[in-house]
Amino acid sequence: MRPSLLRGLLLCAAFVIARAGVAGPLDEPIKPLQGTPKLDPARVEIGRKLFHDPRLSANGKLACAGCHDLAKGGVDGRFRSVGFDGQTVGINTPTVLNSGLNFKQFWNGRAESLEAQIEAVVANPVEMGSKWEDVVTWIAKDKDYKDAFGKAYKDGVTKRNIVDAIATFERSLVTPSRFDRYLLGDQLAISGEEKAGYAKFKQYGCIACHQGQNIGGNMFQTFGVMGNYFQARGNPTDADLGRFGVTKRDGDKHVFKVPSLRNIALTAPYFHDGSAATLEDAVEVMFRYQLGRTAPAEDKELIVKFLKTLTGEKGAW
Amino acid sequence: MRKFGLIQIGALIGVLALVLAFLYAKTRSYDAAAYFENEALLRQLRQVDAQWELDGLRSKMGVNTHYDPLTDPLLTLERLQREFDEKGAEAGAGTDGGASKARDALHQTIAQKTDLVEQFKSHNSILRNSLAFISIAADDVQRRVSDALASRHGDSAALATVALETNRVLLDLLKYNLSSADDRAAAIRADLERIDERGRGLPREVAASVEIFLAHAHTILREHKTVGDLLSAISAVPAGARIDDLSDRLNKWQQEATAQAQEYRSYLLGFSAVLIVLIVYFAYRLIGSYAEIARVNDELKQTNEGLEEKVTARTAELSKALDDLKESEAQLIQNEKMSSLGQMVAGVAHEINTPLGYVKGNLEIVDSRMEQIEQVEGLCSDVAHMLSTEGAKAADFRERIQTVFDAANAIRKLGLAKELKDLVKDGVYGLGQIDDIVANLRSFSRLDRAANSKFDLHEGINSTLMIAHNLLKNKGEVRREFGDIPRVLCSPSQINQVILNLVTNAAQALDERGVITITTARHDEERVRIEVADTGHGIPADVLPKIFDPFFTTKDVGKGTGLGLAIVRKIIDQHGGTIDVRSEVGKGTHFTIVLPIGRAAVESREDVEFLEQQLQAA
Amino acid sequence: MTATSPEAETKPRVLFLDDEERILKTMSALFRSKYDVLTATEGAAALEHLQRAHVHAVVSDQRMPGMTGVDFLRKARQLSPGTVRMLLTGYSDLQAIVGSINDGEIFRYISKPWQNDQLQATVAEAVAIGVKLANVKVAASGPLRLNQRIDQALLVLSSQKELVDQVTALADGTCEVQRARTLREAVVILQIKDVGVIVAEANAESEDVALFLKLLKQKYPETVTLLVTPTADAEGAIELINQAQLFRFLAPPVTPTMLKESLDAAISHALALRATPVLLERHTVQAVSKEREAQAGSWLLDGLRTLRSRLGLSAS
Repeated sequence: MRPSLLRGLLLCAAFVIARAGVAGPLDEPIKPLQGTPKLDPARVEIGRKLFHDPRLSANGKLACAGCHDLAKGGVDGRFRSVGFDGQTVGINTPTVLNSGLNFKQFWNGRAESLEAQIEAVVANPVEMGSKWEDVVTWIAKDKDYKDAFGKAYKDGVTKRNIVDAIATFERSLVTPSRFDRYLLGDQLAISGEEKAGYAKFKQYGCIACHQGQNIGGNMFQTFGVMGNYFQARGNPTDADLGRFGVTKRDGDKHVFKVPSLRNIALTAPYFHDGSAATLEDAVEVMFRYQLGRTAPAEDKELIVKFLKTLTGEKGAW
Repeated sequence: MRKFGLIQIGALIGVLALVLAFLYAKTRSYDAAAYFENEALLRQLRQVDAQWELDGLRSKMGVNTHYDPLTDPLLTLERLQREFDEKGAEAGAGTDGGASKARDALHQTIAQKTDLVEQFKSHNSILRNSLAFISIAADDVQRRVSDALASRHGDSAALATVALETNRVLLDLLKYNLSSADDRAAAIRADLERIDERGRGLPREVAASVEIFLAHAHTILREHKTVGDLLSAISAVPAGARIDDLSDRLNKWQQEATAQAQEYRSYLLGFSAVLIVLIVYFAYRLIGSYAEIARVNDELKQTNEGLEEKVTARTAELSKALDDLKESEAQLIQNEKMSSLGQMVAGVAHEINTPLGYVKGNLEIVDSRMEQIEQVEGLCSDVAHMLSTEGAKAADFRERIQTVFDAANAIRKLGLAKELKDLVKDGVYGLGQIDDIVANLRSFSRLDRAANSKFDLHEGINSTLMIAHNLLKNKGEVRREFGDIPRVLCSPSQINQVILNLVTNAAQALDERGVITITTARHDEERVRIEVADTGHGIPADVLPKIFDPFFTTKDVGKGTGLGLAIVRKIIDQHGGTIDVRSEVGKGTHFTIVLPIGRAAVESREDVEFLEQQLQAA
Repeated sequence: MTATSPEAETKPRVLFLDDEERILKTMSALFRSKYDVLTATEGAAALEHLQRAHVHAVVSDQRMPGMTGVDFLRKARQLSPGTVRMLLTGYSDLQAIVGSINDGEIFRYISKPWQNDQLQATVAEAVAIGVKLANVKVAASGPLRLNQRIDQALLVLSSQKELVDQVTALADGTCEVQRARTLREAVVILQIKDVGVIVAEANAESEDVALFLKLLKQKYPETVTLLVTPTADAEGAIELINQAQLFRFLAPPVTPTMLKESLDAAISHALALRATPVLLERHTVQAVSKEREAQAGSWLLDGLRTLRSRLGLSAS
């Protein structure tokens, strides 16, 4: 057989194998959001109030919404957020939107659930700096909260219920986008370029990690697979160690939770260190260090275009 | 029925209830539903676990295009484990250390598996990306080489070789990817080294593409092994075994629990049967006793009715008996009074009969003697007649006068005049005696005066002594030592009775001649004192306290009622006075009565009552 | 004490004992013409009189200080059994009466006040008997000599067996004991047997045992009678003295000793009477009133009347 033909066949086989189970429009590696999940509206409401209540912080100045501003895509747009008493946190704030779909919380996955994350943040000396007993006490004293809790929960105001309320609210923050509509079958939801961008996204292998319902958020990955990002960037911090901080295994150094790309257009700056100011920069970094590939600028532009379709449509939250 | 105290019954019921509850709890402690739930949970776990593994393979194969299927099970597994833990604890399957150890082992394996899966995800995606790209990278090299060749950049031979070798390595890689033999990897690595060397001398673009190709080739080699190892490790994780282990435990426990529950159920049945028997038995007894109670109740009612009648009858009897008793008491007192009276009366009768005897006798003698005197009178009148008539012969006359003289002489010789005078004098005296006695009797009984009056005690004492004269005469001397006392308001007859009683006792106490002394004196402002003392044989100390007791007497049976001093005391009490006694055996006895001057005796229905009391006390 | 006049030697002596002097004065006035009147105011003095010279009759009062009349009479009986004794008293104490029967064995009981003529008649009767007895050696009745036996029977008139048994036991072979449950039986036995002693038991509902005794004594003075009676009255007792010359009056409780003494005395007296018939004079009785006698059944009267002839005894 001719080498080129053999190669071609093998390629095909490989391709086929690699691409086995190619999904049609409805069966992509990215899964669409199917509307808001079923949640207790009373509890969501309490959670909403709490989410916006700065009294969760020790000095009553910082609410959850302070760093996770829903109007700003669930982030505050800062390189680093500032805690209740003015200290800066050590890592870029991820978005609260669709955070219920992440398999773990925090960049290094140290919180197994939203509840764990809420508990940790409220008590974190840099972030909210509160004591949970105090939080429970003042919430219990607040007549409105007390009534609301009394109605929504059997046992009224408890730490568990407070956390549950906030988490329930957060879970309600799912943001179906145009791309979801497209995945659900609406071919007109996104433009041809955006579709092309998605194809490129897949082609270049971004989809290998940014997949699933949350377009990411369901696996860990080394940051700098194909190249040593941190060496190139310099100024290593503890935050840069990623999952190592949790597992203490060398193999987990620089391993981070793959973030969700939903609403990515809104959540600059990017990466755990907030080093990429724009999508273009982020895509660039990804190509070099994660994919280890070059791509023509047009392809990168298309990918960026695609990424912009992942923003939740207005009114979703 | 044996007698069970209330506490004992309560305790028994408590014990039975406890046993029942215990047995029931034991049967309930095995919750079949829980078992099935747990079994379901384990089944779910097994399923999820198996699916998970499968999804892992799928992801490796590229059948799964995203990792949600590998991530979603995490939550499920967590939830299932948690539920199993909770349910397991509830159902009691976790009571032995072994079960909790098994659960812990399961946790551990799942955690282990999770970790491996995470790693797999990371490494698998890298591998897949590189695999996907390697051909393109090789293609890129070819193109660059042909471009370089076309533009005569660099060493064409080297270029050609690199292109060739790149292709060859590519094939090897692909083959390697399918087979994963380690020796192959080493060979490929050697090839990559060679390409790397060659690539150095090549034009920049070619070199860059070769570099990229190499990077990915190395990645493939590395990641392929890693992924392979991970997958082996994942399948090696004995999660299934743990789940089976738990399942076995669960089954075993369930069997045991079932068996035990059965056992306890049979105990429970048995116990219930026993209880039922007991209840039936007790119910039977209860009914029986209830019937008995009803019967007894009826009897009681009847008896009650009968009883009331009897009570009424008895009350009537008792009333009558009481009346009879009171009568007898009154009778007794009366008898005492009578007997003392009787004694007194006997004495009095004698006292009266004696003078009566000689008065009568004397008068009759006088009467009989009258004859002689009448005779003389007759003779005298004859003589007188004779004198008056003519023709009376002197001889007759003389004869007649002689007879008169004779008769008169006879009378004189007899001392008739004197005798008769004496007899008449005696007679008058005797009548006086009788008069006195009757007066004394009257005085003693005081029937001619009111019950309470101002009474001269001395008068009373004197008349009493007169009455008792017969008793006292020649027994001894009676001395009166009367003081200056006023009249005393009292019942004279009763006081006299007292004096008589004391004096009688005193007289009886005198064995030989002795002295009875009666003294009166002013005791104080309001009271007088009467003392009756004798020099008789006295009263012994042990007897002295009893002498005032009713029916107490030292006399022989039939002599004396024993009520005398009791009545004396009663009378004195009623007068508001006191009576005391001193006595010495052989020397004598001394009674002291103190009476208030002003107070009258109390109306004495109380005599009888007093004696009633005494009789009751006796 | 009155000095005796010269005529006194031939006159029968009568002794009067009374603590009231005036009574004695009356007595002397009444009796000095006929008798040699001796007086005493106390028992001791009277007993001295008895010792000094034979007294034919004695009349004593009961209630006296020191020695009572009964006491004196008992002593007088022992001292001079031939002296006919009488009690003259104003006081009818039953005890004294019984005592005068049992201890004094008196002839007559006279109450004060008395009728002079009646008293004189009684005293005359007593003196007459006393004169008769004066020459007879009279032994005071006393305990039975050993092995003495009388031929006459002892009749127990009683409806209760007890008395019979007692008497039988006590009689113990000295005489034959007969039992009569009723008066009729008694009369029958009397006609058959020569009865020396009768022990009669009076009972409430009965039979007029008293009358029987009185009538019996009239016809059959040889019989010595003893009466056991639960009830007693003074009147009845006095009658039994005067009209029945009852030998012993046994009021309960009758102790065996008492019964024995009485029986012994009775038996020996019965013997004495049989031995010395003149002694029977002593037991002359007053007649029962006609009315009283009428109360007796004809069988009784007849039975008693023929008694003496049946028994071959001399007419009384």
